[in-house]
Amino acid sequence: MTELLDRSVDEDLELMLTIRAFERKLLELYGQGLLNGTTHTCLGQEYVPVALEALLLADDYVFSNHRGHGHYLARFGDLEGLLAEIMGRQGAVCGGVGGSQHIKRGRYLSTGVQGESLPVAAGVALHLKRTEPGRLACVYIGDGTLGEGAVYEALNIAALWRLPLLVIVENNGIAQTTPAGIHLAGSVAGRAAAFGIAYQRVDTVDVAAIRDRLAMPVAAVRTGSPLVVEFVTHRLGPHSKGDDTRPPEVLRAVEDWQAAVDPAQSERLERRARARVEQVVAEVIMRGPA
Amino acid sequence: MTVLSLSKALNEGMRKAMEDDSKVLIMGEDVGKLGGVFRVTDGLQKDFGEDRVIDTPLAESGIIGTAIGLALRGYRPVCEIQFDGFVFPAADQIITQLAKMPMRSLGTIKLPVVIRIPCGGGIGAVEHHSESPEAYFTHTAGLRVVACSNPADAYTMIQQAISSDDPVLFFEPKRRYWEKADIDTTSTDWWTPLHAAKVVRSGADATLLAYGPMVKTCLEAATAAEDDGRSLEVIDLRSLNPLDEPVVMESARRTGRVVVVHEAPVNSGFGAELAARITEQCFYHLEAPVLRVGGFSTPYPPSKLEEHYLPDLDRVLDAVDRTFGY
Amino acid sequence: MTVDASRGAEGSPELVQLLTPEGERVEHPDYDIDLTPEDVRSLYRDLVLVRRIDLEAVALQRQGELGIWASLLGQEAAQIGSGRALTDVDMAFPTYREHGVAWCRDVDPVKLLGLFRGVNHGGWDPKEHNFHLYTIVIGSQTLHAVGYAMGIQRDDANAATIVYFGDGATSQGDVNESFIWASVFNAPIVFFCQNNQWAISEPLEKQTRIPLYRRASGFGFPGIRVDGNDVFACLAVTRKALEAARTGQGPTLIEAFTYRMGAHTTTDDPTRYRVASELEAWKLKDPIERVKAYLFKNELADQVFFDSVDGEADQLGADLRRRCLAMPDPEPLDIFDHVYSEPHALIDQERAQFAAYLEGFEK
Repeated sequence: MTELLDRSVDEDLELMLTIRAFERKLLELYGQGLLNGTTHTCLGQEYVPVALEALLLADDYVFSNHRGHGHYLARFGDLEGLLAEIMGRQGAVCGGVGGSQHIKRGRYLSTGVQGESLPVAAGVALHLKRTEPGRLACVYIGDGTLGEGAVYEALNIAALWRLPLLVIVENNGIAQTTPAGIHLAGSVAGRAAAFGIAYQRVDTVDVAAIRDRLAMPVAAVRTGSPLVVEFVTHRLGPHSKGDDTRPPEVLRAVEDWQAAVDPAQSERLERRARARVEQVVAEVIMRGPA
Repeated sequence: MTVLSLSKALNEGMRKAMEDDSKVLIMGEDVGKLGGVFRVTDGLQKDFGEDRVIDTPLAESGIIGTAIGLALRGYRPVCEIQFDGFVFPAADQIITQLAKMPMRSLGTIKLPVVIRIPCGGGIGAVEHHSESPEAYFTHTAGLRVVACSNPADAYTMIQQAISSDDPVLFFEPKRRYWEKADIDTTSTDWWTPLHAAKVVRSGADATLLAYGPMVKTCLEAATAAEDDGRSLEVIDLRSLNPLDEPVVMESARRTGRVVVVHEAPVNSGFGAELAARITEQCFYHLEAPVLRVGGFSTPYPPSKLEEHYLPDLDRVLDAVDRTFGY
Repeated sequence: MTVDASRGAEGSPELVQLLTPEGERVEHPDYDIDLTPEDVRSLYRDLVLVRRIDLEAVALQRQGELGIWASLLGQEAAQIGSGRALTDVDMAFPTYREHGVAWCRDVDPVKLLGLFRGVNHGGWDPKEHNFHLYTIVIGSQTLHAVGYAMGIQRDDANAATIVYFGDGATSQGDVNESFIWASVFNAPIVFFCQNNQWAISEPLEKQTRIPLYRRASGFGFPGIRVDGNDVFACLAVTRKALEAARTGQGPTLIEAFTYRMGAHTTTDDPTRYRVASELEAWKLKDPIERVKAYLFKNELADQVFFDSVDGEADQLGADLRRRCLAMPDPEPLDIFDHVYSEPHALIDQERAQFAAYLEGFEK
């Protein structure tokens, strides 16, 4: 963990820009008909998993959701494996059968159905508590997921059994097309409190500040104090492809972390990130089917 | 006559139902402003308002549970389950409450709830977006289960389903949403009853039974078989519960050979019910056992493999060949 | 975070109480109630009668006349208090234990027995009484009630919905979804949770880390804990919550803090999981005794009144027993009735086949 915390600002930023370049490239490939099905990008939310990665141990479990490319890349940096997976090519991390939103790699698992990973993560957390104290299960959900009853069954169980469960709510304020004002009554903090679960709110995009803020609470998770962390974040893109109901002026006003980065630094790193993505795409696209 | 795609035909059908009866409501995830992920409810919220076209929280059990409550109050909710694989969080409310409450009430309660489910594969989707869960529901007494295969049926059947006093599970073939047809929206004279099967192609040598997306596949197979000198009859079942037995049995007795085709796994699929009923009622007329063509007994595969999983013309004709081998 | 889920019990300022276990009337700044002596006597009568119905049903089960029975013993005040707060046009959604609410909704008690005798799955017309059928699956009815309340909104009616559930049900996904829906749509509904401390054998601390009424704030609406053994407080708190619902102020969660003095059902044996002293402590808070004490102390009723209520209860019990035993068994072909509201070919076919089969025995 300390070793990871020492990552340079450049490294973090480059990883964030790499995730962004990767997803922009995916949308481009869809546009060209080179990818099947659909995909959900995390454009605008890249800093969340990058910040958290430094607080996670290699043998923690991570449960991701339908919007999981950033979660995966922050954890493994494996552009080739993920792209090959999405394209069904050789070298795919799940042999090409998982695709964009169903990835299993070691202790990393993603699934697309809203809310279904939370009870599973609670079960894994119970196992960790009993067999590997000090490890935790981290699960990413969105604000829309808070509509599912299974979420509360799991939160209640985590509180009752004091499970090392870290719930990351990426609150981008919109569930597919339904704004949170319509589907979210009360608050995320209130929902956590309703089950006796600790809560942290993160409304900065500053990776170092996020880590400072969360280091102690995440350490407490490891001793059996479940935690909900709400990231107040913004989805720059549509839910999947072409289903953004937000008016253009609202979209333009969406806050982007990249805007706060020194332009020279941003440009230098972005160039490198894009070059790497291009290289990976050029290489993976030539591979045979998985 | 109006040219309508299957999704637009459903939209028009719901629009008519909403105009005719102010108690008809639409509810589901993203059905309002977005018009549904397949745009089937496009424009309805704009025209009928947010009280009648309800963008719900992301909670499938909640959608069906509250629809039951609205129906108890005299409303006729039409619920959209966004994708086939998302129906299972609502399974308890559907199977335990919706299906059984009318009988529990000794008939004092009617639950006119329609549950629309885009189903089946063929659109290159990720997991949970290509399933065919109809057999879970045909097994449940108290539900009616229907499946449309073409724009005209989509237009009529959705209106008939909404006017039914019983709960109806309405399966929509998502890969056929964009197919178009001429539809007469000015008259109801040409309508077929909701629970009637239709012979969509007459033939003498063997009968293909299908519903939903597989009807088109079977029609293509029948055209191809003609080149081999075989005359195949194709029946669009349209209704799975209740099943239009007379139409099915008459055809089975006449041709003596039956192949059932569906996308759902063959094992314990609806084809098993058809095979058993045909055998019970037409045993001495059959020249061959009833054969089934369907998905494998596996979870739905990743989309790169779906063309191998889904029954196609060749797999249908292979089964036809085999029925002639007995 | 450690919070005692039972905090706010007896003597706590978090608990709304208007009548102490000793029968002393206490004031509450937010929940006052004006009851005439006749009102109090009538509440007392209801409490006694529903306890008697319940005792008779337990006896009928013990004698093999009912398959099972879920006793309301100890929860009479929560049910009569909340049930009497309803107006005729309000709608109630019960679990399978709300025999007291059924009484308030004028459901003939013998109709409750049909379900438990195996004669039917629910023998009354919900619309006639504005009292829905018993729901056996835990928590499912909360969503039905919210949907019904959304219907009231769309009808612009001056009515509200109340839904009953227990402490165990709060762990269910459906109950939490119903909180979300009610809050998001500002539905006219009262969530009435009878926390009787036990979900069969699991005590409250196995269901929740925090007091249940506080769940509501997490979903954006108020929650309140009331002494569930105090019929005055239950009536006052429910009345106010229903009125808030009717006037567009949205949902309220009421946690009625009470105790299941009997078994979960007649098939259960609570001596396997709880100590006798707990029951003895709760007996001192009996919901009926405190009203009786109040009537006595304030000279609002005399022994003649109490004797006459007891006599009425005995008569009700005997009458219930007689009519239970006289309940006709259903006919075999009734199996096929009401499965669908409209004709259904498969049901018709199977009914005809089974009738023919049965006739074969008669020849």
